Amino acid sequence: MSLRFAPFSWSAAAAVALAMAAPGGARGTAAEPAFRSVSLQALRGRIESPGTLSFTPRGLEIQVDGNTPLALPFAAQALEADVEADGPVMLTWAARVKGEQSHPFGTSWRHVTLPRKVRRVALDLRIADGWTPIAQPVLVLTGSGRVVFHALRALPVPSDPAELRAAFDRAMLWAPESFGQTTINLLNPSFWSASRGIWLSDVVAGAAGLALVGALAAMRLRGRRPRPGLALAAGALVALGAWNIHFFLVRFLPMLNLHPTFDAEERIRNNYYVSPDVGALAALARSALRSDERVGAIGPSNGWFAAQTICFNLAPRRCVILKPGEREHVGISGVGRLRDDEIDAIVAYRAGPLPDGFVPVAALGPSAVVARRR
Amino acid sequence: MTFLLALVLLVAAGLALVRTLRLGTGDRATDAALAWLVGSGWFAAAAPAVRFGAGIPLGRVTAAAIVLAPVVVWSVAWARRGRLESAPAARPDAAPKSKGPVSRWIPRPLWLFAPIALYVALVTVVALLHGINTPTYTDDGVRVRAFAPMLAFDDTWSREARAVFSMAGPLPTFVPALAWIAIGTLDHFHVNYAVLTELVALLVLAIGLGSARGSPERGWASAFGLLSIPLFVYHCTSTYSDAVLAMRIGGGLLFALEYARTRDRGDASRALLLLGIASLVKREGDLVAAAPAAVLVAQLAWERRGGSAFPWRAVGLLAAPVLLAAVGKIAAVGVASAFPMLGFVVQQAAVAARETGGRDPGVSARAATLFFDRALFRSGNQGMIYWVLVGAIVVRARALPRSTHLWPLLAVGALFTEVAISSIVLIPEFTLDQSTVHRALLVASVPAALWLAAALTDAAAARPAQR
Repeated sequence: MSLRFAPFSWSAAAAVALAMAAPGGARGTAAEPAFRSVSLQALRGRIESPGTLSFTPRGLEIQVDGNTPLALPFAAQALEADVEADGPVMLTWAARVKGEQSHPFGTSWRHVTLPRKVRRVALDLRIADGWTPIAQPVLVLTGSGRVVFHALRALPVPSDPAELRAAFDRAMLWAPESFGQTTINLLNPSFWSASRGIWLSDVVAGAAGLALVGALAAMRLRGRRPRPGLALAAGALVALGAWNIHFFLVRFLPMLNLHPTFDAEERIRNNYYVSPDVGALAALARSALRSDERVGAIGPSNGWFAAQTICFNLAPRRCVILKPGEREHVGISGVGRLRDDEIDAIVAYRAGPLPDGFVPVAALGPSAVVARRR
Repeated sequence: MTFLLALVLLVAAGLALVRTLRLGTGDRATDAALAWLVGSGWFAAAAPAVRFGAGIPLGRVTAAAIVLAPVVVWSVAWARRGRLESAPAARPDAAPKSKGPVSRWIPRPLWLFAPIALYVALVTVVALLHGINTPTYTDDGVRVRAFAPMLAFDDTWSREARAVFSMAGPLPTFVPALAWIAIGTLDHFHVNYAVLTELVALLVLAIGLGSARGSPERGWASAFGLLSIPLFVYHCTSTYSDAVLAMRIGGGLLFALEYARTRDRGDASRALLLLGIASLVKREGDLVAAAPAAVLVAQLAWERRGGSAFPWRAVGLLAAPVLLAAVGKIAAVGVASAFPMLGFVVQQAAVAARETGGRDPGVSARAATLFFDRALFRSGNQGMIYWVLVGAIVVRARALPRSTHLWPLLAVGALFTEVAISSIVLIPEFTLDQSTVHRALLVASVPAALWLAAALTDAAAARPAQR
């Protein structure tokens, strides 16, 4: 991957300056650009979003039910937000150049489940989809609950192109892996220099080759007969060791869930990392429905994940995936059939109004509901 | 944790089988890991034969009968032998052929192997914690891989359910369901525990075998190599079966490497039995396991030229789980659907042959680039394994034809060729669109890592005159 840097935009820099009324908040060494506080009140009317945003004494408040995207009116390298949510809400971050489409849920999907109590969340925009020095941050809130941004800080884009390139390369090299639906097929690539398209594997292989040659040279300098097998082992150790240190300490460890959780219900409720609201709804349905109830799961018309996940987690209850307009429905992989009149309960996730005759008995939000036949 | 019940039962069944078949290695840790691999394989092969072949519902009694059958057989055999030979206790079935005195668990020099052991321990613990914590991610619009064991628990096999079983394979279908059947309740995380048990079993097998055979360096290097494949470690924390198949093949290759070194027929038998059991994982298990098994059988046939008898018993151990499971699969879905990957390969080969002139050559060219450039060397999904493999083959090119590592390398090569052909020739579109090549490669990468560990530790230990 090579990133083509657009020429630095003075208008973007001006927008950053405008948004960043900087009462303190500057951190970092003199050599590094520092985070600057962004006045939330100054953003009033300038955030592009279809959602309802409230600017209150607590900060920026947003009621989320489904997907709520926000496009911030300035360019930055990274953001820090003091944020909390009172329900299962995931924050996805990406960037886009004004007027262009962003793809926040692509292969380099960057996301975090928002904390239930105020905590600082770091969002490195450089490693997210669509970032360029003039791109504006795009935040997408997904789930059910009320989100409060108490404070926002931004790391401005440096004006020096060399510094900018170095910062981008550093960010990409040290970026943790990010779970997505496609992680099972492939991991995000690792670059020594993403801006120049130099793969980390090429550099590590070069270092391993040097170790092999160096080991042979050292044997000869000591007057011993060269042992290519030993030199090969040294090269292999350098290759695997360097790669493992990078991959497991830098890429994997930060993203893994290492908190021992003994309760299976808690794991289902909290550990659907890319869809925390689906996991929470599945856990809610497990607790609300009896084991002999026959269930229909409904998801968004353009998605398969939610309905399947809900049905899977409701086993051994009989569960089918409801398709609008059909009278008989089938379960996962077509296993198990239920007619409309055989269904006792419905778990609906962003699926529009409930079918006639069902009333909500538990809910995460308006569009994440467990319902029973009246 | 009810899964512990399944673990104990299957290890007991496996130990009984290992003892009855005289496949024990004489090392407790190695035998315990081998017992899991064999015991779970026994249940996976027998359960569908009983359920679909004999038509007996798989309830608590049936499952107990299947699991306890080897224990009963071994007890009877042991009692008879005990009366005849007055042997008070079991003894190793095959004396370990160590090079010298019993070696240390952590080899020397410590400055090198202590960090390696620490890394192995750290990554294992991390994988266990994350794997246990992470619920099943339903994985595409049609299938949920961890769904098959629920069907085994439910035991009402509709046509659609049988098709799911045929796709998942007997081992991922029946092993996670054993404790559910025994206890009568369903804990979704048993699928995770089953996959993680496979990981621990393979690591214990690698380290224990190396240590027991006088080469703990090889054991730790094997574990280190395995855990140097990032996508493999990630898969171990999921409920997909790609890593399970790779680990089962890896278990077979560990004993194939030992056989190449020791020429102990017992190791060849263990290798072939584990490869036979590997064929019970996923729809492609039989095809994948066939490649290294064919190489090992060819090696045995080649060595027959020296006048030794062909080890039919070892080949029988390969065939037994395959045939037993085939009975169940054919009874479940019919001959035409029992081996779906075989049919798929034949169908795709016909398509590839028909479209030789018509298919966009760019598709195959891009698939080849993706395979040989990105997937093997650059994307990092397989770590640095293929860089080191190529380096090892180049540096050891002169020594390899005479070395004990040649036949196992051919087995790795056969696996690699299978994956390459399926990715580039048979289903290049799928390889490109879904990037499935990375996880398809795990069945070659895991054996490659084990081969490298053996080849490099032997090469490093070799004195200059021995090269």
